Amino acid sequence: MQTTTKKQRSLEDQLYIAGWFFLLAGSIGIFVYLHIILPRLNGYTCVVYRLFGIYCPGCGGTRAVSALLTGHFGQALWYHPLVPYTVVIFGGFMLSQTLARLHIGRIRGWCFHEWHLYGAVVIMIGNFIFKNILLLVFHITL
Amino acid sequence: MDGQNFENENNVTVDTTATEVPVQETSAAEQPVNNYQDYTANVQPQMAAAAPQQTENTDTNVLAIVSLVLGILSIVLGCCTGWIGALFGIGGIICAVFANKQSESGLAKAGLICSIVGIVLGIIVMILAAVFSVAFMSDLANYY
Repeated sequence: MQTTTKKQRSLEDQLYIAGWFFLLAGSIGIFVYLHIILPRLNGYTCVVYRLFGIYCPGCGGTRAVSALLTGHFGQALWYHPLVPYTVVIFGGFMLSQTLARLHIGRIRGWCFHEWHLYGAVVIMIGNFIFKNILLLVFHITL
Repeated sequence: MDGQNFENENNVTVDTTATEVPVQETSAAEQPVNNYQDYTANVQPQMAAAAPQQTENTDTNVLAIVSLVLGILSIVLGCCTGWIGALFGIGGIICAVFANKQSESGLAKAGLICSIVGIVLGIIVMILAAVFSVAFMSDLANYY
């Protein structure tokens, strides 16, 4: 029993370190994309949408990030639910683990569960199917 | 006396077959010591059955988690910007292969599948963008 809790702790320690790496790389990537790459793409839209007239699994992601950065959580949820889902799950994990390590307010760090990632896959596929049904059947665009 | 009542209460809560409980009560009237031994014999297999579930959760590998994260990113980014998705997909495959060498898990398999799908999508998008860039606006030609 003690070995299992030690393994679980070491798993969360490694995930916490990997999480900081992802947070740093993701922040740099989002900043570079929004401020350097995106202004150069005048009117650039998705290749899949332009060729086939359907949304790809990533369509709406940039708009969701922009909406989230301006504080519009509902709009971000509509554009691409994977973005706010990632912020809640990943942000909650990192925040709670940081507070737990700093011993602030008796907060216990969130534990990792496999359904966190399987949920992200389900949301990505479900969003792809749902948005294309809305587009092709009901002609509702993003 | 209190100890016997405590044991009898536990016998009621254990989900053994209903036919065994009256037999234990009749035997308890004759031999109280055997009743305690029968109770422990019923509980021990349940503890042994619960133990593997705890060890399965600890087999989760960090590389398997990273591979699935990179696989999801490769699918999402591969459709919009092909080469970035392909790069994430290659990273996801490498992590999944190393994770499978350490311990096989469902996360690593899912990461491998997502990474392969992301690479395929990224390559298709790169080819389509290269082929149709002449017919499209000049921004596509400049970008790729």
